Amino acid sequence: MTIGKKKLTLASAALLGLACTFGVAGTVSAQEEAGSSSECIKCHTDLERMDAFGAAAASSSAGIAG
Amino acid sequence: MRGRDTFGVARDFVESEHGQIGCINCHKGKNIDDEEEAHEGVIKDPSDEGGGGVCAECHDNITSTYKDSMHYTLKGILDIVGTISQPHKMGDTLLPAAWKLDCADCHASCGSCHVAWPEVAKGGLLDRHRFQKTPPMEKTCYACHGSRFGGEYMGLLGATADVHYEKGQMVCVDCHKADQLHNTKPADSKRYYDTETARCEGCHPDTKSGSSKIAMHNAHPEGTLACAVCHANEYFNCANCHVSLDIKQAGKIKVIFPSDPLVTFKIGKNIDITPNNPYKYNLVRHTPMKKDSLASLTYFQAVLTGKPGPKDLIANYDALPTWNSASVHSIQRKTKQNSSCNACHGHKELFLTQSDLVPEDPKANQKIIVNEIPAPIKK
Repeated sequence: MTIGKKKLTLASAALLGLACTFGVAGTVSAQEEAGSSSECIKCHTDLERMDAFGAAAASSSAGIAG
Repeated sequence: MRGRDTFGVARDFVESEHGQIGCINCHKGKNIDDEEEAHEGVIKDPSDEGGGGVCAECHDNITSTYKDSMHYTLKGILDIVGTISQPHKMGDTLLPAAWKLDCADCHASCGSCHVAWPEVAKGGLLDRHRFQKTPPMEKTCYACHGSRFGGEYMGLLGATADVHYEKGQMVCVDCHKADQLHNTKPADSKRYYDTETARCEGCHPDTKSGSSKIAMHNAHPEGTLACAVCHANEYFNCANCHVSLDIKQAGKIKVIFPSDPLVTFKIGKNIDITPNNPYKYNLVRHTPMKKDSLASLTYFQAVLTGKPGPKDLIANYDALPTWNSASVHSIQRKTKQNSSCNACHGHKELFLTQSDLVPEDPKANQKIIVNEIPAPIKK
């Protein structure tokens, strides 16, 4: 009986831990998804790529000005 | 200009306090790889709307007053256009389009001083999107004020640079403090009616007439002469400016600058007398306006809209002078006119008189001219 209770307690704790871990991680992941600018940063900090974009924008007059 | 100077973002900016907010939280758009789709709905200047845009979320102590400041509202220019075009309604003319395409380029958002070049300069980011707590004078202030104040201050226009720049290495915000630029008092007022504007006496209290060690200061009663009357040098004026629509690019307004720049020095009557501009006489500068300056708008209104606008677009041209009080920024301690009493007294050429006006001038110029030139001082 004692062993059974311990097992139950351990199982509950493990489930709670899993729920907390994945629950929080899920929330963080969703926030990153909503607020992340990783693609913008990757592109706009690549100065050579920006030079190429600037040249293309100037020739087509369709750029997004800074 | 290279693309990196217009669109490139510094890696260290991304790590900064503003950078950590994330691009799309301010500029919108989408965080995806596809370039075109990523830029859908992008807001180029998210700091503009309502005098602060997204900046208001953290800096509402500044944006709450900035929305009514003259750099945001361009109240001075707006009032002039509104006055001289009376009794016409703006909506019946091309003036709102002209305003949007040209005049409004000098309208300043938070970003157009602290992040990017002003719209009029069309030059992209100031420094890879790093926020500039103090805007760089040569890029931001000069972009809009370069044809007169900025140019003469740095010695690029007129006779001399300003001693505050030349010897003091001072920048605009040393006199024109951030809280004055962000907060026009009273709200929505124009330049000379701003009660918190920079005054020479703020740094030079010992120059006050009546208590100065300088005899010439005491010889002129307080409120008679603006400091620049004695301490400025010849300066640039705009004359005969025309505003035209570029017919090759429909709807694009092109300002054609005067063919004969006028460098002169004229003392005139001050009609904008206020507590911070109490002088009877001030230096006056010719403004870039003449009777037919906006005539092409009338013509193009018919071409572009099929509906002719008012023939006399600036029907109330006589209401405002084209010689106006000027805050000339070519200050020097010693000038030609302050070298002796009679270097100024008796010198008609230093004063705006009837002979400086032309028949086409607005009637309001009569209020500016000096009818009685101070006589030479007898020794």
